[in-house]
Amino acid sequence: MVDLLAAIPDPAGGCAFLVHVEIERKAPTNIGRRLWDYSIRLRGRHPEPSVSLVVFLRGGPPGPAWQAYTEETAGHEVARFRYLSFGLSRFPAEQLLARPEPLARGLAALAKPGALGRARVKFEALRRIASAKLRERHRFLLMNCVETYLPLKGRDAEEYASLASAQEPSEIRAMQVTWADKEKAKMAATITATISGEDRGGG
Amino acid sequence: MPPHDHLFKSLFCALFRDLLLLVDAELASWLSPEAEVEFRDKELIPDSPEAEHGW
Repeated sequence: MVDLLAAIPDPAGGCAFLVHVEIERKAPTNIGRRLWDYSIRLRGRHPEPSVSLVVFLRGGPPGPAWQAYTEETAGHEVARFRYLSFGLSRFPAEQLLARPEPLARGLAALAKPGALGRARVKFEALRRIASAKLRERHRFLLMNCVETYLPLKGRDAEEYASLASAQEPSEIRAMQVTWADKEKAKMAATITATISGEDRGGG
Repeated sequence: MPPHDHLFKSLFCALFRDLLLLVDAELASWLSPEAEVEFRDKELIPDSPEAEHGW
């Protein structure tokens, strides 16, 4: 099953093209071949052309780049398939934080902290997510991404606490409350479901 | 499905135009900010033998 298949609308109400997205935890060596294989299968099922994009959470070429997978037969190139890759872990977090797209602030959590350091990256990502004009559900997803992929401990946690206490804007404080409330709500729902299950089971 | 996969699928669906803008602005120009993207996430394509997401 493909990870995501998006139909990009055309002005007439149809589909201009498809975007196929694969999400990979690390960069496998055979990804070009796999995407080409998917592309052929998609083309067999859909009249629209498609573009393939692979997002590498770890490894892979840093940042966005067009890649090519080629097939040769008897020394001749007989097929060339181009696809987009987006490697996060080696891409500077600073570049993502500088982007205007809110998604970039969430993805900064997986990027290379560089001279900024993990604490500063987390602080800046959360600050920018908190102040962005976003639907609350989208804000929560971005916060979840940062909290999940950029946990801090030791000196990083101390530095983050220092940044937050010194400069913490009201938006971050509000988001931290929201985050904590949702975590509590999730925990309460889990406990309720467990108790309910035990009751039904006669426990 | 691994939880990481769910998180990123949700993020990319929610902010799909952002994803396109980050990887290729020309591609993203096909998608106006108001446009609704249809996700055909029920699309089933049998994995090839090489398929391995590294989860």
